[in-house]
Amino acid sequence: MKKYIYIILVLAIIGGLIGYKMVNKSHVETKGVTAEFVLKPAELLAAYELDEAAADTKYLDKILEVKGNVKAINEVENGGSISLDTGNDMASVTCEFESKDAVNGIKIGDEVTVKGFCSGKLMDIVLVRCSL
Amino acid sequence: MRKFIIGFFLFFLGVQVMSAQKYFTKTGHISFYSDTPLEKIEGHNKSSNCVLDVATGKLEVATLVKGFQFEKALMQEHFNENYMESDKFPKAVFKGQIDNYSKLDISKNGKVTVKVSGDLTMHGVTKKVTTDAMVSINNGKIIADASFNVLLADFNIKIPALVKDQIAKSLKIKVACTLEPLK
Repeated sequence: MKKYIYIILVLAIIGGLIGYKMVNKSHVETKGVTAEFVLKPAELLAAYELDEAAADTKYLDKILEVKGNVKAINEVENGGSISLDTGNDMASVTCEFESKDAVNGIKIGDEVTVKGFCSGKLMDIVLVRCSL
Repeated sequence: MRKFIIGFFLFFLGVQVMSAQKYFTKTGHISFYSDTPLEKIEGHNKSSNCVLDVATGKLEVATLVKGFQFEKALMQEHFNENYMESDKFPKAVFKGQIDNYSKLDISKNGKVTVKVSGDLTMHGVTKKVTTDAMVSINNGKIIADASFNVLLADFNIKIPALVKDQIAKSLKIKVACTLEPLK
């Protein structure tokens, strides 16, 4: 009888641990992961300007790798953000980083390769949880 | 020739005046807070757009639902998949105006509280929203802060009974934008 109690107890602990792990699972990182699509900023913008719904279907939530020139370094609270030039003054590719340190040392005009999750397009196309 | 030059000059003057009417940002910070005794949840979006026409007081704020970041990955997943259905409704948009608008004097630094009202569209539902906003002018930039509450039920967002004590029925939404002239 005692044996069963022990087995149930062990199972309960394992179950609890798995549950805890699931609730607290960590974010998927973009660093060290192969991107699903590799594009130039202008290509990404062209895809969105041609057909936003189709571009969303293709790129939303996917990890994109974008290589381009830094047009602006944006001031954001608790984090970093840079904009890549697409050749269009009104629309760039904004890349959000979870920490300010991630964009330390980047200057306007630098060529960078950024990986991030595509979250869609407003004026800019926005990539989140980026890494260099 | 002279007329042409004057015309040319006036045209550019006109363009300059027109372009200075709109102020905008692409890095506005929108955050929301769900506060219950059991769990505090907050999400932040730092790439929201805001455009204000200082001639008319009309303004528009837009944000990408998938751009909200949470402390826990699971919260973010539930927010996108179960509650906001961001594949179906990728954007949240507010279109409205500053009520009883009298033109902001951008040349002078100062602070003023205004009433803002308009239509908030998210999760496929449009509702009227009214809020106070604090607007300050700082060296040619417009800094706008607002906070208001929305009821999840108003936007047809259903919370499963299992987690109803973890998620507030009324969310607090904060908007913080620093607007610069649109060139």
